Amino acid sequence: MGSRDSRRILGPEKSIPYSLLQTQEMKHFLAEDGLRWDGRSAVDPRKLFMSVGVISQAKGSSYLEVGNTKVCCGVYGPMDVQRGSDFNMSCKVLCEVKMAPFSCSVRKSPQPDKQQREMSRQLKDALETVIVLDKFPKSQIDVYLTVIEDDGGLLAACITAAGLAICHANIDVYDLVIGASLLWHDGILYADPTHHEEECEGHKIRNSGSEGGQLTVGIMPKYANGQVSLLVQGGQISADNLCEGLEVAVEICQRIYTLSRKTLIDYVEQSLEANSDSS
Amino acid sequence: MSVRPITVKVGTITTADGSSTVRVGHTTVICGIKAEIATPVLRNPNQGFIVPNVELYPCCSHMFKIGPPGEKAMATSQFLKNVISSAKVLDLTDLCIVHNKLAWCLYCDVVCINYDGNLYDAALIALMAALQNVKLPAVSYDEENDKASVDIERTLPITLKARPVASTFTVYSDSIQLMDPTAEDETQGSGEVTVVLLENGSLCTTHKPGGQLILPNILDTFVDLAKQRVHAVNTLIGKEINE
Repeated sequence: MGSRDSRRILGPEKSIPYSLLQTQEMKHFLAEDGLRWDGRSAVDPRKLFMSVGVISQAKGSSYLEVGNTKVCCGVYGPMDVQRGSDFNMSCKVLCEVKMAPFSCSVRKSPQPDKQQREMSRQLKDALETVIVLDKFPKSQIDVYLTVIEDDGGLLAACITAAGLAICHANIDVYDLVIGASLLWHDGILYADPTHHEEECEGHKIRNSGSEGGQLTVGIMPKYANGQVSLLVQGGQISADNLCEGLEVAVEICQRIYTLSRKTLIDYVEQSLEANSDSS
Repeated sequence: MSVRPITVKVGTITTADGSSTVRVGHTTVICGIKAEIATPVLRNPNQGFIVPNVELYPCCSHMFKIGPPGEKAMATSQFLKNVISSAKVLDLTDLCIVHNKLAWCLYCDVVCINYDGNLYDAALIALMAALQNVKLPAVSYDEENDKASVDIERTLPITLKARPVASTFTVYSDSIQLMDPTAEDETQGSGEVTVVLLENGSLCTTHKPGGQLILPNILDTFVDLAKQRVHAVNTLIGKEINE
């Protein structure tokens, strides 16, 4: 319970979300008929929507919807480093993830919390491998992400949105980076988990012998036969299962990669048409 | 003195109890309302709370930096609070569940995705549209056991007593004023004036924080132009809510 925020309009000292007062019935991981709650099979990914050029103020921007998870990314740069930092022969990458207070089922306080800081740090490290840093000495690239709604697979969606936005900003990259998230529950692999599934898995008290965990990867599919730029894994999974999961993740990333390329190409064609119409 | 096209969509965020996405030209603003349960303060034991909060992340424009809310965000939050209380948009006693024990607290968070000027108008439209989209679950209170329980199957919308609409103008000089400024207009201009009107044409808030001095007849022109806008904006919101 931090000190009262003096820069924001104050509400009541303490308030509880009304979901705590609901008659608590624990929803199971799977629905009654054995399928997932949204009707998908174990390895079906969710519907994807992506577009670029949503923020007119930013150099490059993208908007991504994976199921109900909505993420918006803005890229500013390359620009001069802030005063006071040393000059560096390679570029500095600054990455910040901000989750809107209404993005989760329980309202998030506007103050940054550990989850956001951890995601920002992980993304920064991943993007430093994607961008060709030596091309921009003494410069800084700012990547900002706004999470509008969180319904599972958040880090993966952020990485895909950031990759798209950086390409839209005409910044040199080794390849488009795509993210995918996976979940193991009772030994079965589920692709693209929703928030409810991630929570169920996270709360499960694990007995010895049962397997369960989560995996998020960020992959550059075409560069040097596929390179992993981000890998975050939690839980208890055997090494064989992990390798199998990685293969499924690479497949999902390939599919998203073709869609991302198509989005970028469509955008370039549209702007060329618009330019030739106006001239 | 023309305005940019406005697009309103409600119910866009599934995790929020009420939400809206508003586009005024390129300026994109999302308002999400989360309802929580709190204890009323002793001074007003039968009133709920409404807490507006505007977030301007560095994502939306180069002007904003990482860190705590800057001037623009704080000013816009306070502006929304002033409009809500002076227009009496919501009767806070409607938000009370049990006298002195339970009341609703509506956290209205307005997040700007793309900042291209005229934040006040867009934020107010988003807030009004989201408030009309809120559905609060029914709460039953057991006096003997001092327990409250919530039934999400039965939801009721909240009734708004007024629907204010804001119009912002940038002043360049005595003879040049622009309506609905973009970000470029705002940086070049020497002052801003915002007038907020209710549906019956009466003035509820005027906001002129310093800037270029203007004659009263210019203010009258602003009010007349704003009157024409009120009806158009409210019909647009009403159409979206009914769909």
